[in-house]
Amino acid sequence: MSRTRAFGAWITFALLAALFLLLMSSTILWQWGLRVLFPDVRNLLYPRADPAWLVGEHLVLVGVSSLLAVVVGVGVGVFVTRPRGRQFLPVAEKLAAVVQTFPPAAVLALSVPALGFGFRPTIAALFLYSVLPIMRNTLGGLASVSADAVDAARGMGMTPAQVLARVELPLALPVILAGVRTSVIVNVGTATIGATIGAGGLGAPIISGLVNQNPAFLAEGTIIVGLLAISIDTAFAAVEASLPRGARGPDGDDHARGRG
Amino acid sequence: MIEFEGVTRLFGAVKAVDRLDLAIRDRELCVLVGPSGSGKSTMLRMINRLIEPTEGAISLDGNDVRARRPEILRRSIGYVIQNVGLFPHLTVAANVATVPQLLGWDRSRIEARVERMLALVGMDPAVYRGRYPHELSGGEAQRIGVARALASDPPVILMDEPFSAVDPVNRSRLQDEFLSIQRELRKTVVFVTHDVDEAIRLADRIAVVRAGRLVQYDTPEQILENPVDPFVAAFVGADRALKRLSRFPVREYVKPAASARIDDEPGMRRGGARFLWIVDPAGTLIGSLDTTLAARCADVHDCISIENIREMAVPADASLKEALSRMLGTSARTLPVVDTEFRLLGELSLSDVEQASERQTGRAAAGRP
Repeated sequence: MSRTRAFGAWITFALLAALFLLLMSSTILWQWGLRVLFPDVRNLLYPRADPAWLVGEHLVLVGVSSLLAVVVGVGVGVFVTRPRGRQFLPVAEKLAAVVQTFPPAAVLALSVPALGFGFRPTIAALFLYSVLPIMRNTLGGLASVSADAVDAARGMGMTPAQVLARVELPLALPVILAGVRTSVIVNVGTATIGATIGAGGLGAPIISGLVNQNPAFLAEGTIIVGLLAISIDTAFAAVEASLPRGARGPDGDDHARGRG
Repeated sequence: MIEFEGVTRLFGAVKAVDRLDLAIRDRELCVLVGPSGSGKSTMLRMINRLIEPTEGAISLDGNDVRARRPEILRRSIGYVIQNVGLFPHLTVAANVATVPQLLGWDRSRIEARVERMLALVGMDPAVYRGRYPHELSGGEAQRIGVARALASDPPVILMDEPFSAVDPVNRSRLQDEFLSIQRELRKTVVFVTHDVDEAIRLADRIAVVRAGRLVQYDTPEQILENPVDPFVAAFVGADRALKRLSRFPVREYVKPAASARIDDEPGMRRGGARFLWIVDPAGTLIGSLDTTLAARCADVHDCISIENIREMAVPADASLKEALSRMLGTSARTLPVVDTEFRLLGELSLSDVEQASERQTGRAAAGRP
């Protein structure tokens, strides 16, 4: 059952990715499509860069910030649950909960006075916004790991590193992955705001469209961002559906059981 | 041999274990029994260094357990816990293979070992190898837990309330199965439970523990017969004569029984014994026949009583306690004894149970220092 589910999820992703690549492959297609939508507009395509180039910039913004956020978020989450870092666990939990309540646009706006304009401050702001949710899910995921499984792992002679790598992380993976998924998708959207501080990406035609009252630019940016977000989301869905059955989902009465 | 010497463990100000001296002999099944919070689990977990003693030392075959790194030590000691703790993301085979993998065995050796272990605990490898823990029943999961603990053939097995989370029917089956595995493998087993019946059933030697101290350490027979103080007496309960019966397998007390085949009418009508057990040509028990009544029956088959036969028939692997319970439940003074296929092996009467009980009492009394 799970195999067919995973297969279906990968098919969905493949179809969306194919559609996306098709749209990226030719500007002529865009010219034609936007002319149908906006017959009165003279400049149909954002002139400063191709859609493919904008997507590339956007992916770098999202990819670099998310990668950093995963490394740091998971790293800190793991550290504060080890004996050596456990004293920092309450601080980490509170911090994660507080920052989660800031709207992403506010985080970006606040980062400008501190970090200035451009590509790197945008990455820093996106990183800041996504690192804490990922850390929080890492903590949640690790906390959900059955205490019995960990006790058995230690009792059978796994080193602390083996317990982490072979038992804790694989069992926490679905929850961690859900956190990464949410923050990457939010980042795809939030990164468009980066254009207001000169970071480029798919926000550029949107901002330009707003400033110049050009609905075609606006459509170009938003359609691509939307498709990109959906494609990435289906990719995550496919990966999640492909995880081993026992490690997945809330049906796992196996690992919810605590020690009596 | 596992030896505790003056072992104390504090949790804050609480003495979980208090100056414990205990020697567990090789190839014996030693049960640590006591009320919850008596420190028995802590004692067990100090053997494989999941908990370190505050004072004192524990040695394994004369070597201090602290001489080796905890991980290395633990790989040579089997470990089974109450809620099994199977790894939910790994298949049954991968779970059982855990310690051999940690020890770096090669793949073919691990595979062969996994097959043997699954067969040992009575689970068909072809069916169960690829299953995930959430696809197993509680009893099946606990069998895999035992298979996993035995996988690297460690000389010592630690079991922390392994069968307490299983329902009573499955628990007694798991106990039987484990006893027969233990009879075959003869490991040094340290087994923690709060269930006195379980302790008496399984133990070669019982350590009764109370508030972190060892109160009495002796064979089940001695503990039942000569409880060292009122606490132990109350703990083993007023029904100790009954409990003692749970130590004796019916198998050892079966007597030959008069029986006749269902297709052998002259045989059924022949006198001699007052009661006959009636079996089919394959030897499977069908019912009983009162021969004095049979004389008056036109068709002898009409006089065969099949009522209650399932309740009366006692398996050879059951204990005298269960046999007695069946006698009381069916008002029968004599029970047919059957094998696992329900074939008649013989019979057991109330007087046999009484004699066994008296004899054992005498033996225990004679063993008094």
